[in-house]
Amino acid sequence: MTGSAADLRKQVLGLTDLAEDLTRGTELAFAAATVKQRVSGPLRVVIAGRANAGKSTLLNALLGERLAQTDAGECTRIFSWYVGGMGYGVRARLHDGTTEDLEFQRDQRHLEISLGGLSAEDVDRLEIKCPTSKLERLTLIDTPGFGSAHGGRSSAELGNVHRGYADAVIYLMRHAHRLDADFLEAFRDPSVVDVSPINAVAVLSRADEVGGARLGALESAAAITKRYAADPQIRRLVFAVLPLSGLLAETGRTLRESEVSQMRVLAESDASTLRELLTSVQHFLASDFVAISSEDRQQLLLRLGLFGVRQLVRDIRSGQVKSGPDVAQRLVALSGLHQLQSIIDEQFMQRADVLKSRSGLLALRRLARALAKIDEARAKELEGAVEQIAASSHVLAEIELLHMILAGLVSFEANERAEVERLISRIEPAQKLGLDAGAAGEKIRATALMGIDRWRTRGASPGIDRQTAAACDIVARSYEGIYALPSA
Amino acid sequence: MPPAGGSNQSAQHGEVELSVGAATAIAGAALRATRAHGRQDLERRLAAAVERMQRPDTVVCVAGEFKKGKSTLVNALLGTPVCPVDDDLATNAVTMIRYSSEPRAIVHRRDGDQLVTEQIGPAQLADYVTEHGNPENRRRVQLVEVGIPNRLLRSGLTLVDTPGVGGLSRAATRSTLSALDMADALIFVCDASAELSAPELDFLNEAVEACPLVITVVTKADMYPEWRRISSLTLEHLKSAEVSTVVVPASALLRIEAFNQQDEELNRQSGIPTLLRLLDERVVARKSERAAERAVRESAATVQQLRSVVATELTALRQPDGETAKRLEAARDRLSELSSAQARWRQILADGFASLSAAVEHDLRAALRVTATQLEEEIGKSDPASSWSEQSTKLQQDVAWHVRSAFLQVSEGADRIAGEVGQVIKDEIGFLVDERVEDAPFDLQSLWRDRTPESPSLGAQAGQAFTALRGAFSGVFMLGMLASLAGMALVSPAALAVGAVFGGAQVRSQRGRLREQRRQEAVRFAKQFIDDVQFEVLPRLRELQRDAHRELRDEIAARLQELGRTTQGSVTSLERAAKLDQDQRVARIKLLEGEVQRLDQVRSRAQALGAVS
Repeated sequence: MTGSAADLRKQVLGLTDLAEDLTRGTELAFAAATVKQRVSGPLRVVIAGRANAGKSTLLNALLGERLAQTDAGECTRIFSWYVGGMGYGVRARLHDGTTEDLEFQRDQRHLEISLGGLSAEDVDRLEIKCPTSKLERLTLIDTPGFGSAHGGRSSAELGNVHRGYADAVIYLMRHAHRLDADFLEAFRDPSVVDVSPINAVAVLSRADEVGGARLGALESAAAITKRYAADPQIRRLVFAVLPLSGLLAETGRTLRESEVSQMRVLAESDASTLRELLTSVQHFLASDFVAISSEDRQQLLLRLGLFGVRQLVRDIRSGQVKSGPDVAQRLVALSGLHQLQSIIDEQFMQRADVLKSRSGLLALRRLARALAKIDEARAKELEGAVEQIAASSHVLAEIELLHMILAGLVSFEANERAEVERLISRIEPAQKLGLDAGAAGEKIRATALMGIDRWRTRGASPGIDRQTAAACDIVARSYEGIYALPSA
Repeated sequence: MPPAGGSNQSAQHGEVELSVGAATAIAGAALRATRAHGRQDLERRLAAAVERMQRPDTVVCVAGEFKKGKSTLVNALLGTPVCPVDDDLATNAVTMIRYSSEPRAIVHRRDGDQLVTEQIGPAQLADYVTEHGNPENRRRVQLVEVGIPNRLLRSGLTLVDTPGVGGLSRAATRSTLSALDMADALIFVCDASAELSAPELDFLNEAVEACPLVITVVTKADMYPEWRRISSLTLEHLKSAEVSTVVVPASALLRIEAFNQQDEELNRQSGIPTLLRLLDERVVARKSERAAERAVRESAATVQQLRSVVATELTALRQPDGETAKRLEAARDRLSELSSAQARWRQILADGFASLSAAVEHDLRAALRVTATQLEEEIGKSDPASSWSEQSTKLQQDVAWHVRSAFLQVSEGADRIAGEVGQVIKDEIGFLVDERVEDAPFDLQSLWRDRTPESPSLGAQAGQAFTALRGAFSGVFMLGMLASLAGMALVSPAALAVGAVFGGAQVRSQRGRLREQRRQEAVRFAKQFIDDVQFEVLPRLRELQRDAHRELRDEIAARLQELGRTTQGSVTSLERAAKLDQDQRVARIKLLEGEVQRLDQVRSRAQALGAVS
């Protein structure tokens, strides 16, 4: 055993120092510094997907503030990094590495940023500083979204600029066919290489619009994600698929009292008026319903969508929600944001060290390859150091094995697969072994011992290929780790 | 929701009506004449021409990305739920909907290496065309034909609902594009959730090249408060890309509400009336105009046949001579020989199709082989982990292109053979009969591809409305086939294997140790795909050629029979003339002169319309 994920991260950080030394004076010095920053900095989670998939809306929902522009048209055309800080601030990082502070204005709808004399093409990314505890250990990255008819840089170009910037990815997709080329392509989005099912989650965004935004849209959306999640082709790409209504989440997190009272007025109307009003957007806006001005009705629709309005009317009428906070909570609960948040917490944040180390090592390998063109000896030195750490770390071996299994690159039986997934992805020893949370140390040790035995035998069975044998060895060592735990 | 600009091809509705009206009048006059002369064969031909004019064969394709509401829109246009609609799983087979007096549905699919055509109950449709009833198109459905007694379809309109394809720039959609030139119009469906995307714009850019009329429909306007802004953004994108199309915001839901509430304003807001008007004015009316031209030509030709019988008798009455009788009898005998099973033109026709068939297959195989070889070379020089996405797209694109070329080759080849055989027959009978008689009969090129969906002459004879697919319908078929191939390419076990090996960018970092394995997989996959394509396409091509061959043969035989009856009529009238005394002769001459005048009048009216020389 070579220690914990935190130890590994320290080792990788040490490697980045070495990389800085070895690249000093070369054109790669900047790249090496970037890798170092990356390994030492907060976890970077990229929100990716096609234009209009709802990336900025989700970002606002996660931050609980309306910062990113979310017009129905496309507007996010530059990578925006949302980082923690003491106050608000916007800084443009240019392609040449220099930075420039930008003017900005905060209004109710979003952060209005002025590029000043810069053109979008000059800017590598915007760094938007927000004073929120949510960004202390996490950086959220809003991407420009590919497939925009506005032109601009293609996703391939964007990919080259931002190669390997992400530690984890949330893919937003509209309701897609399982054979939808675009759907599959989304996972090949070159702007977020190094993505693996261990650090990627897919989100069926705009879930409230499924099936004509009628009541029950979210149930339909949940059924759709369930089907996706059962699809082996999709399981290979992400470890979970969740339904999400970014709009409901964003509005729930930023709801105003005036909006709540308007919804109450609306919900108190008589049933036939409501039926008429809620038939369609046209009915809702054209009606001579005087209790709420038509501008306010338009605003309500933009904030809640037709589904949100329909659902809240029902919930208020049934008495399920009453106060402003009720409404806000209800919206967030409906939206599916909690589930996404817990995936971010459990799968990304708790594993931050190993994810950081892993992406750091991948970046260092790339750096070594680039360095080989300049100075072969130095490249060899860097590569050697990288491989030594990569080969000796069991946590890394585990995460790579998990990647191989999830990506379908190692052929285990279904039950073996489930066992290994559980063993690697759970945190508590008892959970890892599939035992009750309160299982006694004796029981844990006995189960772990059986695991060691089983996987040693499996790895030594005749006719097994080298890759699978290596995989069996990793599993056996994971059991050994549990067996050796002092608490066990 | 009125359509927003984009195109300036305003329909000249009045003019079209005039031309169809005039053509109908002339055809009516010609019909009366054929009836008076007791020529049911010519009558049938004219009736078919009139039918074609009233119900021109128009094909309108509905395409767009997945889950944009294509099937819902088709149902809204028809005013009845024909296409299955679902929150989640959607249409996965090409569905062709056209008029039929009784509701019916026919499935064309592969069963082993057989092409199967089977009738199903309309209620079973979902079992064949949806992802739910037919997951991954396991039933290998290539095309479903649905016939319903529907007012809109009575005009001869055929709607083709296509499976949605995501990321429209991808190969699967190129397949749709390659079959689009068979359509008279394309309804491109996007929705009001977001402005037009780049792949959608790319698709439209190419679609306007292939299709004479493109109507962009922005659906779901009833659920997006910003539909107006989204529609105008979409229009702006189209304008700046110089894509000539009309943009119509629409809502199926508002259309239904409008019916329920009897609300004219809502109906207007639904956009469906606008769409129907566009289809009528810019698609159906234009096709009618073309059919009208042909009806006028056929009327003139028919009248000319009648006239030749009368003229022959008139000549004989004025100046009796034995020569004419001999010439006519020889012509009649010659025509009867030509109608026999051993006639030379039949052999020429059969040989023509045999060599066409061989050429088409050879060319397709050769083209696919070259594609495979080139791809193999490229794979050998690259690492599929990074290049496969592009390579597989190109593979599908190239293959779709070659398949399209093969279908075009059949279609053009059949035209050419029709021309050649027509010329042979003209040569053989030209010196025997009156030059003017064969004005139109052997202008065969346009015949085999231009048939009403349910023309009385064929439908009634064959006893079934949906027989072989012709002309434009072979295009629809091609579309169905390519769509099913595109689906297959993505789901076949080979593709899955490739997916596993290229499972993610991660693989790339594994120091190339799997590169050779990846290359082998990629080559194997490409070969498998090409084999599958040949397996699917070749039988369909053969079938198409068989149909074209049979139709041309029957068409020519029918024309020869018409001519035979005309000649026989002349012979009989000569015999009758010889038996008349002086007084009877004078009276008969007067009568016939009047008839010739009447027939000439019809003919000159046709000439006045400019459709006949």
